[in-house]
Amino acid sequence: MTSDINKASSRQVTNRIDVKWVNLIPYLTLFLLIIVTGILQPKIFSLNWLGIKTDAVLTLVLATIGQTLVLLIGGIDLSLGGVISLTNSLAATKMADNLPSMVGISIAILAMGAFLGAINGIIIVKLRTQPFIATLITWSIYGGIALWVLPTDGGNVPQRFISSLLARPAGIPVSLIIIAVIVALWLYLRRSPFVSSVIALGSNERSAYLLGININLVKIQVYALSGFFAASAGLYRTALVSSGSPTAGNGFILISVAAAVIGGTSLAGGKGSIVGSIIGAFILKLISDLLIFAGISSYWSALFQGLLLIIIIAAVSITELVKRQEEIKR
Amino acid sequence: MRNIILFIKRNRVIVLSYASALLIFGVVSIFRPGFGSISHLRVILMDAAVLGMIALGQTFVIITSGIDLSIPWMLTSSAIFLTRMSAGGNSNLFIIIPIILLGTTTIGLINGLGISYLKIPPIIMTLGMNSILMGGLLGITRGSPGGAAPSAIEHTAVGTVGPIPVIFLVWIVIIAIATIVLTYSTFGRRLYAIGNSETVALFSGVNVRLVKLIAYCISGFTTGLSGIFLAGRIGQSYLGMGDPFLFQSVIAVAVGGASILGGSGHYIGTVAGALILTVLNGLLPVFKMPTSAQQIVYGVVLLAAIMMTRNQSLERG
Repeated sequence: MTSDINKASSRQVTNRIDVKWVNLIPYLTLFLLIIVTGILQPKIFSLNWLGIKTDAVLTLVLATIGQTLVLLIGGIDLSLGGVISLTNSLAATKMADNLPSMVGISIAILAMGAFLGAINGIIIVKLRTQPFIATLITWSIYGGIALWVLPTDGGNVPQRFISSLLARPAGIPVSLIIIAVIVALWLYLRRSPFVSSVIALGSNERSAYLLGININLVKIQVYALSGFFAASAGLYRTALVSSGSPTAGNGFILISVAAAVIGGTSLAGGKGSIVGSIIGAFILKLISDLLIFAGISSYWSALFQGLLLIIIIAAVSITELVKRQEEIKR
Repeated sequence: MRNIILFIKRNRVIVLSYASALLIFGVVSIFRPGFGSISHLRVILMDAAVLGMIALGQTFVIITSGIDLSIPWMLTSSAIFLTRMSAGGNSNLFIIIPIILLGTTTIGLINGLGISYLKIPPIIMTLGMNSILMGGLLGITRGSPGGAAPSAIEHTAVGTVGPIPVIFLVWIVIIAIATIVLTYSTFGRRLYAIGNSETVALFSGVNVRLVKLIAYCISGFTTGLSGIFLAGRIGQSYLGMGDPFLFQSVIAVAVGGASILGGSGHYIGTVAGALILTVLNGLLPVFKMPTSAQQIVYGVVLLAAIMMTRNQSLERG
């Protein structure tokens, strides 16, 4: 009898360890990538290197955060490509080189992003359209508006806007500070009522409704947040590339989903974390860096990125399958 | 008569899709008389046939609640290999075409294996595959375009039998086969069963993994075939020629009344979706619209089309 209880409790413990192990895959992958980078380029690590990396990856990080929130409720946001294109085009054409204009237009662009996201939410909730289709269509519309604002790549970005977002106050890159603030906010808000209701909604919409959560409102809020983060990604890209492109966002749509999934977010909803997504974005960045360092022609790099994406996700998936098999055997 | 009314009641979404295609076509024809001419109608039917064939695999996969995002570069691969291996000549087509179809079916098989057996989410698996094909093709071709399509393929793709385009006749045959498979075959019923509930299908004795695997193989096969026709229709192949079809194949299926969550829809609906999209694509040159306006109009019309079909299905419960 006691041995049974012991067995049961030890089983619980091993289960818990298994669960943790799956969650650790993104961190282990990142760690491995850093080690490989370190072996190949021993003297590369410095604050400056970190700054260059975080600058380069922040656009994807911001897009992925929005995507993660939407994935958490079991949705998907393909329109963030259109929002990034549009906000990038607007920021590159409408900003004048003075402080009120730069701040004012930045705030207006962020508000517009939230508004465009809320439209997605309203279409999904009120017209009962599937998120994949609704945001595919709004991507076309938002992207169309971007092409109308800025027909070809170009624009004129104020130098002070660029230098302030790429600055290094006290040697620390602004992009790193932004990521740190987001991580701190997430850790602080992770147990807040809003995030809890988001996760409840993603886990089971019906029970969330029965718990008294206003599911329609939460959905619209989450899509608005995704639009907000996409707009901030568009703004940051404007400074990073110092120009605008009406198709800038298209490359971020599926990669943001990939980064979130690599970071441990489930496409089925209810499971995921912002920190994991940030890790996922860094993993994708380091992989493409390694491919460049390995001297692989840029023609082939898409092949290796696709291959690695499938391998990482397959590893996560197989671990979970094996775990389930073991549970069935017991 | 009663049968017809019953049919319309049962298939409101599909009937509505055809009605919208006709409506858009009619309205544009009134404003721009040349739009409704026989020669332009022929062009529309040819383009719709190519899009319809591309969306066939997507329909099968979406019915099982999956999705195939590797279609764009599967199409490009098929077209590029056709033009490169044949070098524009007809002599080796009887061996080249089977090789291409075998190749794309194998790609579909790999997609299916990853999704069915390793439980990789379809979006990730097929997206990764799309990226692999893109990288592989760019690496092999070093970024140079493919060249001209063999004349035999081109004649098939743009030729006519009497007043009717050959490719449209091919499409009719494909529509008939797909309809029989989806409506009357055991395999078709199993696709819907899996899309509605994998668990229920599994407990009903359906080999869920195998059926899903076959659906992705079919998508690979039909995409390979469409790539050959696409190369013939355009007359050449180039890198990225398949890119617009990611959006269009999914939307054609959705406008045709299929739920992206699986278990519903029919290829007959996708055919209507392909017609609507092709008519919309024709608006750009007719009204001399810039790409921006085109994209916005495209989005708004599709939203309206989907709203209509959604409301109907809600009414039906």
